[in-house]
Amino acid sequence: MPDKVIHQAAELMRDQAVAYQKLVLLTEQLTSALVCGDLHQIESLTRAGQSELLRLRSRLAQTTAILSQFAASRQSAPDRASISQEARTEFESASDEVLRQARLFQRSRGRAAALAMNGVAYAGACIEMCGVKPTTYGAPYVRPGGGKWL
Amino acid sequence: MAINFSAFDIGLSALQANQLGLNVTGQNIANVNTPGYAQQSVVLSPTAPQAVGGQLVGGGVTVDQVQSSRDQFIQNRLQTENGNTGRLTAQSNSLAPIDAAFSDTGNGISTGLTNFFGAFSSLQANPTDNSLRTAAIASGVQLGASLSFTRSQLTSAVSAANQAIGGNVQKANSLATQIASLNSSILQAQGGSGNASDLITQRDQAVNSLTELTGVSSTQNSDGTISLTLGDGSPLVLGDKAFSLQATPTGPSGLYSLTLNGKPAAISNGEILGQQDAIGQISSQISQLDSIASSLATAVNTIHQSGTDLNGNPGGAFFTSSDGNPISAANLTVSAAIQANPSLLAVAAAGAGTGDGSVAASIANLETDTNQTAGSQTGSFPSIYSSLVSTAGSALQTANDGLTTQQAIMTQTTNQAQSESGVDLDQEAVNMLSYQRAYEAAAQFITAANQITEAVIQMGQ
Repeated sequence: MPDKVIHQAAELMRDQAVAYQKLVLLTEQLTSALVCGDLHQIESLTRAGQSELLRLRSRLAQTTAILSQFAASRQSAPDRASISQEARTEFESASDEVLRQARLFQRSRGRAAALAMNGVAYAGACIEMCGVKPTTYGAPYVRPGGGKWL
Repeated sequence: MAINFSAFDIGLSALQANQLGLNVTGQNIANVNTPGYAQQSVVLSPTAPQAVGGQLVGGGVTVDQVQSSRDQFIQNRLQTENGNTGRLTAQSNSLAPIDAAFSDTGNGISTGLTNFFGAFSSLQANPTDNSLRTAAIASGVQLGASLSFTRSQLTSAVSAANQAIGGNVQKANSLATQIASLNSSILQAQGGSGNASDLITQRDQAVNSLTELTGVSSTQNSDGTISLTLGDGSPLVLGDKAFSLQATPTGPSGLYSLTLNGKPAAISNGEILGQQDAIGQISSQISQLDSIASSLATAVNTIHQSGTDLNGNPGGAFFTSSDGNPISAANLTVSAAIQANPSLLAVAAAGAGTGDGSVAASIANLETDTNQTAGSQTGSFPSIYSSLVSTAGSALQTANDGLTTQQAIMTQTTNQAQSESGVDLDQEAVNMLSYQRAYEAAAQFITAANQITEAVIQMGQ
């Protein structure tokens, strides 16, 4: 029984590692789009990133829930069934991979974050110069049927 | 792992690019009402990636150029229309005084002719009446004064147009020098990393002004400079060299003769051509007026000299020149001797006795005699004069009509150029909102992703 739960968590972590790889790729492309100020590309990549983030968040919640259940069951079970070496190795390998990919993502997201924040400050200054009051803007959504943002 | 400075370089290049973009946006907005200003935009491109730790990493952003939204075809059309507008405006302004000169408000030439022939008609019935003789002489003097006054007004109009040409030539030379200097600056800016867009805008404005004055044609050279040529292809500006138009007063009237490099300057359009055209038209009217005065004097004198005065002596010349020059509208007056002694007015036919008024009748009949000739015109003197007034009025009307049409064309062309290259504040604002929203969303996404990642990493530790 404990092995099964650990297998489940490892499976989720492997998916999580793949998701981080996708996020790293997305962030690299987003950096390029932010540099060029390609608004359509920025929007498309941001939406893709947000979708991926949603799944990432969901898997994180699932993983946390599974591990919490496992911890609770271990505490309440008198026999404290041991985890097999195979399951333990699989779990450690998957978690190491997640951490490695997460750190890679952290490195690549730094450049994108700096560019995006610069862009926001720049646009804000320009808008003030244009005489347009800065307000809070929601996430970008393409108009039905495509076309430019309004 | 070695410290990687590429992130700092990327951030710095992005900041510099954004700073330039901000400057360009500010420049666009500041010049929203500047005539001839072309909207500018920053053209960015990513720098070549560098290999870092076996991976290719982007090197940030570089500014390729600051680009102006200009359509050369519309710019050329704008310059041509500027030349047409300048020509028609100058022509209309220079011809405007002839309307007042020929207006018959009581003391004009038309009234003078009617009074003159009417006075001799009255004298015909009572040739010995001294008061009628005096009235006939006075009407002749008045007619001469009217001709002289009208002529002086036309001469003043010519003089004013001529002075304007002199002033415009100075302005044109100054603009040509300015354009040559801007050509040089643009060449330098394009060779280095400077922004030539503002210089090009300044040059476009100077070229528009010069076209309005002289109707020069502009040719874009491959190095970014422009050459300006007159109607016959003579260069006024070649790269960084400007050639001066020379205005030399010629003839007794001091009308300017324009030359470029020693050859007659072929001004094909613009204010200067409009002023030259107006001078030509007004000079022709002066010449016609002189012909009318001269022919009238000849016809009246011929008849007058065929008669006898109250003393039985042959009549002398009724009209003479006040300055000794051949009779013209400028100097036509009644003989001083006749003005001093009305009895010298010869109204009787030779040998017919003092009570005869047939000579006076013949002079009065000139009013309706359609066989008279003045210059190239044939008809009665009042009809020849009416024809002159009509031609002058028609020239003014044509110039005004042409100007009205041209102004509509100019407005249309300017609007077209403005829509092509002008600054649209709404568009600037929308662009900025879109830009801000996109970057904000990207920043939010990255921040959220980072928060989750931090949580994951903490869980792993």
